Amino acid sequence: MSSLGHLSGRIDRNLKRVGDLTKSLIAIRAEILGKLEALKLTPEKVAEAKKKVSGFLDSLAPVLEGNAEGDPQQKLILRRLAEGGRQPTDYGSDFSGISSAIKSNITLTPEQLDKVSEVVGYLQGEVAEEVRRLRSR
Amino acid sequence: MHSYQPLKADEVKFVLLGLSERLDACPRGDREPVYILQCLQERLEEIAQIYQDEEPAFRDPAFGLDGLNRLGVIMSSLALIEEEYLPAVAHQTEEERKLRVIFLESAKRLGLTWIKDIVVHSSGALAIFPTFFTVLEIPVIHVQANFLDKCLCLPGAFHEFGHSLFLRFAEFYEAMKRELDAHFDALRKVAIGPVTEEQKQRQLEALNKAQEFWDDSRLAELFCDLFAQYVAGCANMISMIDLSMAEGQPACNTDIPGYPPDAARVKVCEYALSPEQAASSEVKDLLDGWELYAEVDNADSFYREVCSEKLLRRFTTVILDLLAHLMPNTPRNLALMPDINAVLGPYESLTFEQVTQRAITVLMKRADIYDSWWREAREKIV
Repeated sequence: MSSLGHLSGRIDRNLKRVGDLTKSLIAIRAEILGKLEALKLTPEKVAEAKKKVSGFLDSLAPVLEGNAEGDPQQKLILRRLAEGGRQPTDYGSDFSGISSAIKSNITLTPEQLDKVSEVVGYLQGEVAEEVRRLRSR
Repeated sequence: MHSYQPLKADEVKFVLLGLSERLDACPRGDREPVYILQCLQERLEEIAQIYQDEEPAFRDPAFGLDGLNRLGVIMSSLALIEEEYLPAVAHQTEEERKLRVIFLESAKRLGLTWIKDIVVHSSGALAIFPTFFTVLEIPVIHVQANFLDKCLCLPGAFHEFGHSLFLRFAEFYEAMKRELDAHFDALRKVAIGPVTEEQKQRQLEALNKAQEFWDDSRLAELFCDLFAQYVAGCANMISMIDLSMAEGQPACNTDIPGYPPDAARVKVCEYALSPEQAASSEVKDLLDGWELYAEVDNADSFYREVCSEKLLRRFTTVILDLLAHLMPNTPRNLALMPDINAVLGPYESLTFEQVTQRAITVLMKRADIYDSWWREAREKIV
């Protein structure tokens, strides 16, 4: 009776969550780059993407600032930032600002979005690692 | 000028193409898991469409990490199909085809009606891959080679079904979590008497550590043991004793990542027995032997903290009640082990649930004829 049953459920959930986030970031980046047409993205889809990313940042920021415990994925981001010598609290306050900018319909700078992409990359890497673990069970 | 993004995008494109061809080449006979093949094909088409829609972003270095993260997600999705499903569906053995039908029928009888198809893969260890991109319809069940010949392991299949159930109803996890929190909250209130602040902090830390031991994967495993106990009664109890003793592992080991100690798993099954089942000589004798082996009374203080009888009984009660409520069509097995004379009498067919009881009975009471009995019985499983 291996732990595959539980691991597969977790991979499934995480893959869906990271899939939604990476798709949303592509849409927001396309808007910044002026390339919405090439990707056939409508303003409605971009608005939906922004809502998704600001929701993600709103729940992540308090965790990085030490004001909330966080779910396993948020704790992973916190750990990866610390391991990489970053200041989680700085990221937390940046993310609060980015989320506010999104909600106020202020265009993000590429550098702001890069920070979000960086932490979503940690989650993407973790899912890939979990899939690898399935193979080596 | 060469850049990494288009290079990676091309690789993913060819992986997609190759996987699609390999799926097309899978056999689609009457006894093959054709429904699963269709699901895999549909999923692959969805991924190909996503790739096509977003390809300009993948090839444009200006999208940087966003394009690469997206390609990473696509690769992980493809890896699940390629690594988890394709090896199972590409070359089905006769045993795997037979087990697929047996498990499907059993799942239906036990009320797991959301399962539409199963693929069985003899990959070495009993396990389940219950979800496919959030869909619970098409699990992969991994089994040991010649699984049906290992009669003490047969109830383990019900444990694997339990994983599908645990994911289907969040109520099971929530109820176990509530019991866990209530148990430790109560301990926090009563355990802290007239002590120094330092002692109080130490006590609280120990209780927190004990509570955190029960992470979601350990709760899931315990739930699955209880589900198997619910549907397989005495046979599962014996199978759990086998699980604990077969490899000579210390029963009260709390260091196994993702698993409760074997002793806790055996104990919850014991608590789920009816008084008649617990008193039956088959179960009682084996449990007495297991008690001597497990030495639960000599377990360290951490085991006693995380696996106290009170907490394990709370888990057992809440899950048994919830199973009856959420799975009203799932028959609970409260029977004793079958009578050997009845088992050896004539029969036309056997369900997998019956086989788990009868095979252990014959092995226990008439090991001398087990081989011939089993050769006939395995041909009559429906």
